[in-house]
Amino acid sequence: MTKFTGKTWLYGDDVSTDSILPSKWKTSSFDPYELGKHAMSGIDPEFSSKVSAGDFIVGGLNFGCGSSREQAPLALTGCGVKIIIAKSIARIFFRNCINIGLYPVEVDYPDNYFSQGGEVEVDFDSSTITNLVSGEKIDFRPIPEFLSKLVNAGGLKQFLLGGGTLSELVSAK
Amino acid sequence: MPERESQVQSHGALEDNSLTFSEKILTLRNEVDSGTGNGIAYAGDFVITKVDFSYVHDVQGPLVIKIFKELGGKNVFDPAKVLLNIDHDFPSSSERSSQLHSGMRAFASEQGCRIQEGSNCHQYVLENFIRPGMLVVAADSHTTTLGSVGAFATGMGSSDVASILLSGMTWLRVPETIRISLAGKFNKGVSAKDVALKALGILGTDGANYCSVEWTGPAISAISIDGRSTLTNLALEMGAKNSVVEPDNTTFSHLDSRGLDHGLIIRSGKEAQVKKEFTINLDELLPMVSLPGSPGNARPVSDLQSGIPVTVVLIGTCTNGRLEDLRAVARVLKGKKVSSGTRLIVTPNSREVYSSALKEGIISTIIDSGGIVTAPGCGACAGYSKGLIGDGEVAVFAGPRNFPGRLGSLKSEIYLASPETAARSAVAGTLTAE
Repeated sequence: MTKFTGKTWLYGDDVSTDSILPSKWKTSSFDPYELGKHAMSGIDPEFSSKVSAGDFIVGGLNFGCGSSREQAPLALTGCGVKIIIAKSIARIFFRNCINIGLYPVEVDYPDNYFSQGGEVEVDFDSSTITNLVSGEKIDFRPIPEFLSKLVNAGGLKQFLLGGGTLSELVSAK
Repeated sequence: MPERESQVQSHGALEDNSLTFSEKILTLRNEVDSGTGNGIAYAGDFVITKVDFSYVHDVQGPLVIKIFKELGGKNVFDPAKVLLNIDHDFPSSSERSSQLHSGMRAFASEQGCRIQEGSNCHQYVLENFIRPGMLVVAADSHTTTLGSVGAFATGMGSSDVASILLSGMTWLRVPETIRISLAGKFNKGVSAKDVALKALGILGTDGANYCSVEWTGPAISAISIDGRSTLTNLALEMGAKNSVVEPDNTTFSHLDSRGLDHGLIIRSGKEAQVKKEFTINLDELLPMVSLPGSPGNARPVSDLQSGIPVTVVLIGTCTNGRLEDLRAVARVLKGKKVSSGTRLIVTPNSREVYSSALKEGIISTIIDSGGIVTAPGCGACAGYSKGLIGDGEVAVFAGPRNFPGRLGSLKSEIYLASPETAARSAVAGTLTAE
């Protein structure tokens, strides 16, 4: 893991898990690919047909607020979304992302920095985002090292199955 | 007393006036060296803690069980500390739900852990298990509710809770604290829900993100455990990790009446550094409403144009389905009729609340007024049945949140309000607190 390049899909503030995966689909399946067919359908019904693997979601403030359903970020991974970029990410959604290997990036980006469908590069080594259309770079605050370890492992399950332990996580913070 | 607890007590963390509730409990419960040298877990530190109680419901539970098994899980860490709670779609509305419920029953049976069907999980555990100073993690956002009796309680997703069921442990970041002080006396027609909506209007839906919200001040003693549970429940809608009310005589009567011991009383230090602090003066507080789209869109009902037509009124959930809420509804409905263009759907949030409401005549008052009472649990808020709404509907909802599509159709509008305002709106057929 160092750099990812992808297209951005832009949304506003307070996108709740009811929008990311509407209630009627939340227990329809536990397969990310099945859930992915309904990803973002509460706010953007065409999303699953236009998204490509490796794309990024860009939200505003408080992305993923509301219910704790892990099925919501799972649906995003099911359609290949790799990174969530937002001005802020709601607490449980943030933990859920880390736990399933979906990268959360919190960054207070300038208005009009991102464009719908525009390509950006996210570099986790230098903690920067580069808009590949305008060339403009912005810095983001990296997540604590132990969370990087979890997300890089592919999430909590993979981390634990790989022999990782909770104490090793926190002592390595 | 566990060794760690006695060590830290000798440091005097419990009596340290410079530590918040969350810093104190997470200091007491920290299983690793927090790195600060003096053993204190300050806001921003990471800790590993044992969990005293954990539960899952029928949305996340089946996924938790799946992940638990994929992790190679054979036995939960302590069957007495684990509850499987079927409340979101009970009685089941579909074959799919029934199959998921069967899986939960089978898991409970093979693990020997607790299972409950019918009551909302947060209300059920408050009625039966939760004591001051407990550390609770459950797979639902509104787990914050349990701070109403002085517990540290927070919600997490399925992977986290699966790993807790396996090990009985989790990691936490010690939260900063926001302190909301309540002063004055409630005006007629105003309740804890209005206080919470007022605070939501001030903080917004992310103003307490990652924080602990402490409810305090001279007026808190006049608020019942039911009312306090509405406050700690709605702190989640401000983004909070946990929310708490310091135990007092009201808490002790609640515990005594249920045969629960007083647990460990942890008082937040008055000199502790907090991130933000403000007072809500109840003397000036009017009935509140959050406009459609977000719980943060809060303002006094009196600021709105009058006569907004309401097609459906829903009262219940982990926010407003308690006995005190239903009593307020019955007081409004007594001898009145629900407006002919409006449906009133009430969901008590536990079997116990339902039974008490039945004995007090609340259920018949609601039915006689033209309303309907569903089986207890989470109601339409869970998104399965019990009154989901259609295109073009306008709802007044005495519940936790009004994000688009929360109660069904994306093309509907949801106003959040108190149970009393909701009941008045059902009678008027328009949004009103009068």
